[in-house]
Amino acid sequence: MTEMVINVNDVRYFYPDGFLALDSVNVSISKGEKVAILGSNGAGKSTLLMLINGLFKPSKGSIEVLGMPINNENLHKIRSRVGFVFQDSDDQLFCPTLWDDITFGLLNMGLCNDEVIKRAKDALKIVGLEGYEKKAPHHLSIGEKKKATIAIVLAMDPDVLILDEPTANLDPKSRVELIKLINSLHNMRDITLVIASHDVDFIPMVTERGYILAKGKILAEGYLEDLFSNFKVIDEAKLEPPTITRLFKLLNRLVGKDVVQPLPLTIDKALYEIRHHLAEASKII
Amino acid sequence: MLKTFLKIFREIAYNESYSSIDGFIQRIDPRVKFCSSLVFILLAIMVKAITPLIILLCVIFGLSFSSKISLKYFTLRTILLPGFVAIIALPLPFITPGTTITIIDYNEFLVNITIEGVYKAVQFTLRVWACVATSILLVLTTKFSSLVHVMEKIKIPKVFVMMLSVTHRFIFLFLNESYRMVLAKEARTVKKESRLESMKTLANMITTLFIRAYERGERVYLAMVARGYKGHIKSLSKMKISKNDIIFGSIIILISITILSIEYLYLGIV
Repeated sequence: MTEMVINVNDVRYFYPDGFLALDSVNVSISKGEKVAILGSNGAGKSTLLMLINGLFKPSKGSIEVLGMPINNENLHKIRSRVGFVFQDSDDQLFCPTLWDDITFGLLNMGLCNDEVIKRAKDALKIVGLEGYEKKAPHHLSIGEKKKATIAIVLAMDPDVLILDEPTANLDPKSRVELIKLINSLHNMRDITLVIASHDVDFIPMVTERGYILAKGKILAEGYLEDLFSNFKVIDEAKLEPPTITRLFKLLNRLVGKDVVQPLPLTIDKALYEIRHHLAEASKII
Repeated sequence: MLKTFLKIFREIAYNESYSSIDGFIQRIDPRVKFCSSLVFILLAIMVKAITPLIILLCVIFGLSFSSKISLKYFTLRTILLPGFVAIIALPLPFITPGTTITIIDYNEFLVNITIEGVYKAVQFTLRVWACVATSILLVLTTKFSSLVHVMEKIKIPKVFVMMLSVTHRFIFLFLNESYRMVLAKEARTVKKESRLESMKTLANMITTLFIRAYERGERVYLAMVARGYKGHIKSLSKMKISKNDIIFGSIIILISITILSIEYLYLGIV
């Protein structure tokens, strides 16, 4: 039986102004899974992530993380095992140098100095920011800041890595580097990934399963192939299928039958489908 | 004008280049530099005669020169505040009682200018200049992160140090944010604004900036809590004092004693 890492049970959350941000939300994530929280702006994605990290307390319902219910007793234990990468990197980089930022969380964990130094250096190496230790955050590019925030969370060796809109404001090259980094992290450390985003082209490259949120409610859950084939739900959530999926949907419509089914979500899968169909066509000829 | 001001301020704030140069002061341990600066500031406050103050200023300018800081740059950076102070001190020659130098007759209204008053005004300006120049020399030749660590080492309350560190960090963000807001406003300005309209826009921008600062503060706090912050700040910093630092510290003490001796033994108190 797979170990459950995150369990959100019937959670409701009201903002202080009375706005209902989340309504009857249920989420279950197993160890080692790569899960997407999809939704348009204001759908409640970031709020859900904050609740999972114990930064907000649910107005109703309960949340269990790594088998521990979120309460004052477990809060610090949970936070040391759940790494949270904020949407705006500048929120997370508040120290004068990158080194101070990366050691901030580690020192709070009560680790000895040698361990702090080792972990900080390892994390910087993984994200490719070796030699940036003494750099001030305002001297880093947006892509470097994103990598830095991943490093400062990674140094804490979390079991769960939560990323909130990780591709926001990134240029194409930084985006590609981020995809590689996220995938390598998952392969190296068997980390559980939870990624909130509305970047529908990015999500299939880093996750397998997902939840679609709209107006604080979960509209659908399941494997991404199924979710992105459900055009009605996608439309209701004010999202769009990935570009390559839309192209194949149009091709199917052009041919008049479902030549490719399920529709590919990434370029790699699309390429595979094209090769496969070309090979079959050449056999017929 | 606001755009030019923000642009200049951003350039000044972002410039940490002097702290990376291999200059004389840059090589000194930040703790020794910090304490030496405190000694110089105390000295500037204690000294009452003008000659020792000028000597102190010469020493500070000499140290800045030995740290490969352009004399013109250093003078321009340090002169702004004393310039304002000089304006504030302007009434002193007229209101301080003492030996009259000259009497100004303004529509049968007689105004006395006294030696003591002029002396006080010059002394006050020089004193502020020495304090400002010392602080700027310290900031220019030391990385901000090192200054923060020094403050931690000398047991300045951690909450204060953290506040200072976060403030410094977010000055850049808000400078950028203000600059972007000014640019956005300029992009939509299609006719010449009256002064009143400009003031209104400025007030709106400041309000927006305050709200953004508040929201940012909330998010930063959440980011700190997410990384295990429980109200106590821990740090990992190791600094070593070398022989050169001890020699530098001794020279600073020697200079201070010499300046005090000049003040009390030769010049006396005016």
